[in-house]
Amino acid sequence: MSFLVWPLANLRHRPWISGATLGGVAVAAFLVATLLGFVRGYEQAVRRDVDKLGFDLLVTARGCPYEAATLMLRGGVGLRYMQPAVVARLEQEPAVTSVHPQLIHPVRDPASPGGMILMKGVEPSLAAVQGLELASGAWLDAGPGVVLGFEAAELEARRPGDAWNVPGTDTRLPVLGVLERTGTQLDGTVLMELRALQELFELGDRLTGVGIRIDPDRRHLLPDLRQRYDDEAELQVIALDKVVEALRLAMDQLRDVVNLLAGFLAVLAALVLLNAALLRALTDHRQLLLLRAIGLPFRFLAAAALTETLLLVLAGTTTGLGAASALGLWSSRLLIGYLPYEPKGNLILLDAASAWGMVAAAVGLGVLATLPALYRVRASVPDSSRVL
Amino acid sequence: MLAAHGIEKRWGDHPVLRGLDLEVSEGEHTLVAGPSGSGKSTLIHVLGRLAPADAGALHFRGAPVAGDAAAWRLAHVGLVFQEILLIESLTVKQNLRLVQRGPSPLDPAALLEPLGLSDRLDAAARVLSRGERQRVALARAFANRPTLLLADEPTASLDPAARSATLDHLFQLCEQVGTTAIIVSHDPMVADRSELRQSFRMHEGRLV
Repeated sequence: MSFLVWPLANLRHRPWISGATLGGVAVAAFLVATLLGFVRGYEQAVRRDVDKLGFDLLVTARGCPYEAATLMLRGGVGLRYMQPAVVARLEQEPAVTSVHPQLIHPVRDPASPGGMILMKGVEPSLAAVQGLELASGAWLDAGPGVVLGFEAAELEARRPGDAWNVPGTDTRLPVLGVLERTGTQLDGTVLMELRALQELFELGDRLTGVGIRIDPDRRHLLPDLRQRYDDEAELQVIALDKVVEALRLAMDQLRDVVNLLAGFLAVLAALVLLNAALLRALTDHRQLLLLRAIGLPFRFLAAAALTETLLLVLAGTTTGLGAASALGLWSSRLLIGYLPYEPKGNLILLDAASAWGMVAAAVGLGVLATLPALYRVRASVPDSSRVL
Repeated sequence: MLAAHGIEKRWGDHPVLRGLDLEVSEGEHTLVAGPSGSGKSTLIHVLGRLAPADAGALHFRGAPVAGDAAAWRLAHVGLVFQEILLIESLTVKQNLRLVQRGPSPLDPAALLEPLGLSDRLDAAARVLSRGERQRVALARAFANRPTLLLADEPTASLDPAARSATLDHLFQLCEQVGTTAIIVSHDPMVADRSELRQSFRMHEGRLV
């Protein structure tokens, strides 16, 4: 008889206990994988978004660092403007290779009460700096018009060649192109050439920020440059690695809570397993004693009991991990509302190493949970076989 | 084949076997009778090495029994218990296969055929009637072709017809496999069986 026949038959024999145990382990595995995967995925997504900005430094009007970080990543509202003269000064800096002024201008969305459309004025050179790719149409250097982010194009139901009414104005501009999905806030943004945006909304030469790229061979000049401009009363300078650090600090508390919760869930899963193993021990005890009396070695009975538990554990953990992976997008949406910045896409990062780690931990818990039941059988034989 | 000399066994402070002697030869089916609580089951446990004797010697085929008790039972002993316990999650055939770890196991179909259970080979144990369960438990005791059968009240809690049939099956299997039976029972129907070669009565921890 195959070694697996007895454990499998036992699992089928008690469908409710088996189902409840498997479900308990699966839910615990799902939650632990989702929570731990989210912490890693969120950090990675923030870093990816920052990398996509393509700048080494961002100079903005002075505000709090979190506001500035949000400004960079999200576009922000209630903006402060900075003097354009700073652009010329920055261009003279020996460490600076390129300067990219930009203007973020939110406008009310007439199709959605209370909704806003984020317009962003940039120079055409930005496409190369940020590695932007077009899903269709052409970039801003093709002529007057707008380039829509992927989701903005879907929302406005516009394609290249269509006309787009600029909200709050009588102006209709052609849609030049639609960007590929980036997974960042750029997806919901409408891009225009900087000068055209300033003129359209009569903003003079106002800017909200200046992105700067640094000569890799002159990065040693970066601290001094940052310090000099940061010392100015109206300006603040944000290094992108500092942005990541600021967001990470904001996440530290969340990580502690997540780890605590994950630990609690692991204990819960262990209790579910222990309960199931003890229930089995209770119902199977006399049968196990009988088999010991007949002469089956304890190691055989122990292996069968462990196999039964491990089948449950492996099925539960695999189900939980699969669900965490399949529902990653949904879970991301649910969790992200509690955080200061909202990267897009699936933020549940499940790599092979962590999945195997979870399986190994679950197997360990399964073995530990089975030990009390096995001890009872071991300790009961042979004397208590008298009850037979 | 089996010889027990000066066997003593206590459960806590209560002495149950007090210098018991018993010798059983090949094919010499033996009955140990006596009222409940006289120590019959304890004798089965000591002879089957389910519980160690406190004193005395046990010889099997001329040699002192030693080594792993479970392995010895699996190789030489079949056990029939008062309570009919099968593995509920398994089929009849799987119940027999599960315990078949001896050197020359019997084919489950061949074991069940004389018991009238050929058509129940793949039935789940949980759906069997009481009589069928008792027969399967009997078949399981013979699954490893044992030399010695130790049966503890094999007809307990069965109706008269089932008791008679169970004994028929038991001795039939002993004949088929070549097994010597030691039966402890207070059932008069067992004592009337012609297959028995010797009978004892348990009295104050000894056989008389």
